[in-house]
Amino acid sequence: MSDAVSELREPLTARPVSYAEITADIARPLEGKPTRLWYLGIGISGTALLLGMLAIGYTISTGIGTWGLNRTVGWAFDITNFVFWVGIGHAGTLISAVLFLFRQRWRTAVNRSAEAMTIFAVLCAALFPLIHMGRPWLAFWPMPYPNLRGSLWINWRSPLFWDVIAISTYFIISATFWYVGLIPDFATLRDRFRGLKKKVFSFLSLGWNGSARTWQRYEVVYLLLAGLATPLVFSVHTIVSFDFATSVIPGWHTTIFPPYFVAGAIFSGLSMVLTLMLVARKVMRLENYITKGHVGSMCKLIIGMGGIVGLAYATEFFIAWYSGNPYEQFVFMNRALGPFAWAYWIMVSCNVIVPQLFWSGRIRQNLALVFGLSLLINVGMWFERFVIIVTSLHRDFLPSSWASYKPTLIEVVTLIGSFGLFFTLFFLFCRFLPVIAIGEIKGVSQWAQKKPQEVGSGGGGGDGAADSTVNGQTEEANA
Amino acid sequence: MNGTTKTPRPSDVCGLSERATRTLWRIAALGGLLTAAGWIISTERTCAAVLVAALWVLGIGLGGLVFVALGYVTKAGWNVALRRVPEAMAGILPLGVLCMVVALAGAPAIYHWLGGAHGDALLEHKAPWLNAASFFGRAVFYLLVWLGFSFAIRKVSRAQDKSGDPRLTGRNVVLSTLFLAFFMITFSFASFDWIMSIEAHWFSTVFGVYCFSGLFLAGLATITVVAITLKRRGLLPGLRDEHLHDLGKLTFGFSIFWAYIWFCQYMLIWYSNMPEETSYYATRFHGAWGPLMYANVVVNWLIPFVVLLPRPAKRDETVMFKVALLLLGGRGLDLFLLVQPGISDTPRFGVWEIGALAAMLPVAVILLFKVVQRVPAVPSRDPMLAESLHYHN
Repeated sequence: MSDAVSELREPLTARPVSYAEITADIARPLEGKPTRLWYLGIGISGTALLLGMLAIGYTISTGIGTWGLNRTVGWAFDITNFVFWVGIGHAGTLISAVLFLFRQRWRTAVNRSAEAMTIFAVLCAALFPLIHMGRPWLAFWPMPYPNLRGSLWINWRSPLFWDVIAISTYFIISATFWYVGLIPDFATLRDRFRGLKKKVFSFLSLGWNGSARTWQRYEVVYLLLAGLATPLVFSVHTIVSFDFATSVIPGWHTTIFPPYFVAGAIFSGLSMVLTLMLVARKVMRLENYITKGHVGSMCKLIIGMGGIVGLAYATEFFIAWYSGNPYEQFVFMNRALGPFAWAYWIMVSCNVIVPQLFWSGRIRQNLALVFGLSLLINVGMWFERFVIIVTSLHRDFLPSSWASYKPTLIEVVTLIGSFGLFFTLFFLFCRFLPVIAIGEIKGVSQWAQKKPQEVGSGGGGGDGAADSTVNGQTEEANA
Repeated sequence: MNGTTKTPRPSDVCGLSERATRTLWRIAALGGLLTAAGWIISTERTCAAVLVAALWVLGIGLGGLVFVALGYVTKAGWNVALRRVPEAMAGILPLGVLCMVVALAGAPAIYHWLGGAHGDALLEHKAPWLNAASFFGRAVFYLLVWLGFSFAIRKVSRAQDKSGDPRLTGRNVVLSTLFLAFFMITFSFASFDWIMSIEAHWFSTVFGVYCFSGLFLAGLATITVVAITLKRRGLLPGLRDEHLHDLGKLTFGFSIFWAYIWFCQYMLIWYSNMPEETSYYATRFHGAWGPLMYANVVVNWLIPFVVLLPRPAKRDETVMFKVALLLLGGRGLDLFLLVQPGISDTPRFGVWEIGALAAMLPVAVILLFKVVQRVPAVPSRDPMLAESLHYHN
């Protein structure tokens, strides 16, 4: 970070606030009674969660025959949901780890909620392979450990096994990262509360005493965890893409899948963070901390990621033709013109065309519109996975075994249930934990940052001042 | 003091001494003669060697331009004090374009599909894309638009030296965004055209990303080498350990990114084991090419990864200089392995290959140091400069 902050940079809070105000604003939702809006929100999401649990219970007790899968389409709704949720989980670590390493200080307003979202999304994702196994009580079988099951051993060469390792590692590191970031805030809350809450936060804050040494160690740990988490952002979705790309199924086997899946995951995660931060901004009254500038930055990242995803679509289509492989060509033509063309064109319009609207500064400032567009991108990214999975499978090499796929009610309710789980956890998080990193937001409040003049250099406009600094640097270097 | 030029510029203090410049010119002249002779005596070999050298020089210009543009788009503050180095690299883009023109003049010797399909069904299928008119048309279009962006972005940056107008930063943000969007698409397709189509039957969707990762990694290495050289001669006063540290982090990160893309392409092709795809690696891992393939990964990833992992290494001028030089060698090797195995069964590095490199690289070095010294070493009135001079990691 810089001692001097250029005048070109917009302030990161809408109006200047004191440290005391920051603490009070962010601790407020934890102190009073929740708003009516909050009860409404958790009521709806809790109901969805319960419905989902019923559907899952029915699936487990009856079998996967309750789903619309058939011999040709062996992976469909469940794996679509799995990839969708894993993807959503990517923006959290991107914002908290990658943007931290790139010193993007605007991330402070959204990193906490994005990290929480990551953890909840990974939980939702884990649900689907678990129930797809059919016998979830044997879910420990993919774990490699010496056992008494004879020669039954995991297949080390299977990307499905790599997935188990990658996602559980990702979950552990993300949760650790989230918890470590929360420690100073737990201490702040400990000091504010009495009674049981004080005891709980006191326990969670691990004896934080706010000394310079504590902070320094905290920052070292945070930096190291950020460095460790960054490769995981890549590895998780890379390996999810390997689930498909290592096969020889046309439409699945293509070398661009790893970076394309990672970009797509970040793209979908960003749009989900954007959706949620606009909700949290209104419901939790955080307009001062989540500004239009933050929303604008998110929109710009979405343009970039959407561009990469769009280029990947185009490249795949082009190479399918260029390769001269008739099966590849068929799969891509079938996507665009076949029975699932509607899904394909929803995907293209939501993921490639919608983000282009964000080029306009006026649209980026219109928060209601941004909210609507971010929802569309969420929809588009769900359909992207559906298109990749179902359309590549449903018309396979033998036309005699071509089949279609239609989700059953049970599958739809399970998807709704996963949204219920996600939002229930998110609402609980908003109620019981600080949604913004109190310690970090203090570091970017307006009066914690110096203007260039205050550190003795003119920067833009100041004649000669910059030169003397430049020369000062030389002398320093020569000395 | 008018705040525009403050760097001492006597003729004896320059990035490249006059003697070195003269020697480099002589090497270039000799290389040029060799290349001209090789073009007649051993056309195919010389043309392939020229393509490797031309892609290298073109990559210096593009790498610099992408670095500058990314800085503007992400509103980076740290890089301003050293931005004139990548700007100068973008400034020698015309030379890169010239080299590419020479290389494409030799296209019929390298791209066998240019001579017609001759009953090859796959080439007949690809003819709507792989034909002389559209191939050269696309090349002219890509190269001209890249040149245009390079001129425009550098011009705005220079104008700010005079006026100090902060709105010029905004203009460059817009130009840079447009450039990156255009570049992302065109560079991908240019890689298909200029490199992938040498082995016209083979295809890989991630190929453009792979070429980009190498380009940007080499760009960072070039910036590091030039910046440190200038600093050692007192010509880049704003460069501090903090800047080296950040360059080091980026180099480290993009070295891993390069290896990541390398691995993804290799692993997926190895795992699926389909003949139409494995041909690429079958050529490259057999015979004398094999050790070079392993060396490529060692030079471009393993050594930089191990050396640059500790924090002090990234802040050490000597270490950074050596790693960056190694990566420049790695760039040459990577390009060699991208182009040559499609043309020759065994690696050949003889008089024609050396001649082509000697003809082009010294000119790039001379021009790079000339361009970097023609303008003030620091964009002294950039509104972000103060951040760059005062930040710490």
